[in-house]
Amino acid sequence: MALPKRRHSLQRKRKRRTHWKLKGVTAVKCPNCENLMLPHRVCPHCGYYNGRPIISVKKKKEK
Amino acid sequence: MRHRKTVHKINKQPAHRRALLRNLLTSFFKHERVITTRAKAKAAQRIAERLIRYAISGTLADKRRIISYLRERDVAHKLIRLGQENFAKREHRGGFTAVYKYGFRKGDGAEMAILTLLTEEIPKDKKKRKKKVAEPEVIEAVETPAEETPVETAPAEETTPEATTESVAEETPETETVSEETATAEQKVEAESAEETEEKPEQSAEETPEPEGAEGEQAPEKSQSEGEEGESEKEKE
Ligand SMILES: [Zn+2]
Repeated sequence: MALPKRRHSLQRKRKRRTHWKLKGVTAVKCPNCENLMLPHRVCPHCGYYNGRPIISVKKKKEK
Repeated sequence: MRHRKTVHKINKQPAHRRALLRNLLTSFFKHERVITTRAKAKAAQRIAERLIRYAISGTLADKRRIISYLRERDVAHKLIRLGQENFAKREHRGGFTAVYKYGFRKGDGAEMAILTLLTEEIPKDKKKRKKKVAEPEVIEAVETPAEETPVETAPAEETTPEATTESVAEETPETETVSEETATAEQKVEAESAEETEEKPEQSAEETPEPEGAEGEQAPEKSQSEGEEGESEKEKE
């Protein structure tokens, strides 16, 4: 059976893991209400899409 | 040849799929709007457009096709009436429905969508505006009133700061590898315990972020329960 010849050093391991990165979320300002939202989606804050209201959004009570 | 025989399978066997979509489409034409997963919405949209074409043509055979597909006779007749009185008078021959993406469901993170019947025509000048956008970008942004700017002209994407877990590895001295090989057993134990402690901050740094952008991902406020058998959630407005 194939087995590793040498143990990998910490440096090797860590260098390999430098490529494990999280990508930021692409957010866009809603053209209607200026809140941040995901692109190509109905705005979760105001319910608009493509300049037209799609759904009515209940507003949360402010504490 | 199986060309152009693509089916949205939605992870169901044919009978299950057909039953689900019939239920879904019946409630869709009943309420003219339905909130489901994106996959189901897309699958239902194709059939919805086909049923609308039958309704527009309005021949006896086509009417019977609609009646036999939809589960409720009232709804079938409503669709036929709508096709004759509304959709048949449009210039376009398709595009009577729309699927809008609508966030993610809370329980399993499934992408949700709104399938809507476009009973009113979307004003045409939208298309003209899109063409304009392609040419002079800067001027266009000034011309259009702020409220109506289409999504395409929206300010450039603001990417949230990238969560970087940078080069922890590079900081470790190069001599380490050398010393390791000559190290006594004691030192090895030390090195390993050091490794463990060092790993922890690294991992936590990787796990925690999911920063401001998470706000946009919020699941729709109404959390919907969904029967597998196609009891789709209905949005009544
Ligand atoms: Zn908005």
